[in-house]
Amino acid sequence: MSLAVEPKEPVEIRGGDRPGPYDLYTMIKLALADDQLLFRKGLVMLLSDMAGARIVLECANGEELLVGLKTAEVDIVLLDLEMPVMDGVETMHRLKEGQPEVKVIVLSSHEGENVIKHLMELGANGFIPKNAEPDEIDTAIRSVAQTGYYFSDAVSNAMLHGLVRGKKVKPTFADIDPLSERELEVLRGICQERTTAEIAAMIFVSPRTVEFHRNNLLLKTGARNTAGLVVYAMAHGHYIPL
Amino acid sequence: MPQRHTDLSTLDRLFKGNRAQVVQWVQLYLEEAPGLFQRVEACLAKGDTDGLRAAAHELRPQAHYLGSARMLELLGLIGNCAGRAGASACTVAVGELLELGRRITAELKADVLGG
Repeated sequence: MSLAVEPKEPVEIRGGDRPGPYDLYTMIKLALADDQLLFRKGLVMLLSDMAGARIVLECANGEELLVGLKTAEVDIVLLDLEMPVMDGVETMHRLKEGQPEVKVIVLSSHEGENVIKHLMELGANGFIPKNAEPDEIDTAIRSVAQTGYYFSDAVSNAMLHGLVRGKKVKPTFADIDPLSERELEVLRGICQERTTAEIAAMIFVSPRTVEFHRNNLLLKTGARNTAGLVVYAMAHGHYIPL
Repeated sequence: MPQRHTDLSTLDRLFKGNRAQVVQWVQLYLEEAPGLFQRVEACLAKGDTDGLRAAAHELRPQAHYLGSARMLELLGLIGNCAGRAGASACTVAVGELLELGRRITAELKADVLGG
């Protein structure tokens, strides 16, 4: 059975957070699925002081997580890959089918480019190595909460290298791109991890218009989520990470 | 000066200087780690290559938290060695890992728990 964590008093977010879907009064609700008890408890301890977030569900495998998600309201899952009963890949498939609104940050000791690329293509919103510093974990959670994705340098490089090796990145802009100039501006803003409000300010439109263009991007590119948009952007040369 | 096998500054940094959390994590490690090392030893004895690699893999985050470069190195060696040549080829590395685990336990008990 899943191990529900004793709920704590919500911690107010300290000032300085960027505006977004998670405003000053919204708590980011986290679920953690990892079979390694020592690592899991350590991560719970690390995250216990994170402002604006709390772990509401703690599980030892994917099956427990899916059961727990039937009753617990969760925004982001921190998901291990190697778990018994139901591993991280199978769990992510099920989550993306059954609860696509729940975002997934993969935790793994495997940092190979092929692994990372495969995970992002499956729909992961971010990737954190298990030896990540607390600040990176904090940043990843907030980035996924606010923008829908977190791309560390490792993830960006893995995806770019994978796309280049797979010859999906064209060296020229020979193809006619179906996206409008405004849509491309929004797409680049997304790749630069800007919030909706920031993109709106950058291109002098309303946040609502940015969301409109974002939805069109999803429809036109066939991407399922923001991560997919970034993959598309890299594949078509619209964005090359530094 | 006796050789140190851990670097608790890693834990201090991870828990942002919260001594109580460092002690709590160490206590948790001391409870759970013996089982992890026993699993490594048992997998070696049974010639269970996949089990040995999985057990070594599970210890990696703990080695990072403990700031034990040697433990991380040994775990990597065991993982690679088992993958290439099977569990039986890892006897020396596993032996060293188990001994290191015992020394780390003693060090943590002395430094953190004062006993």
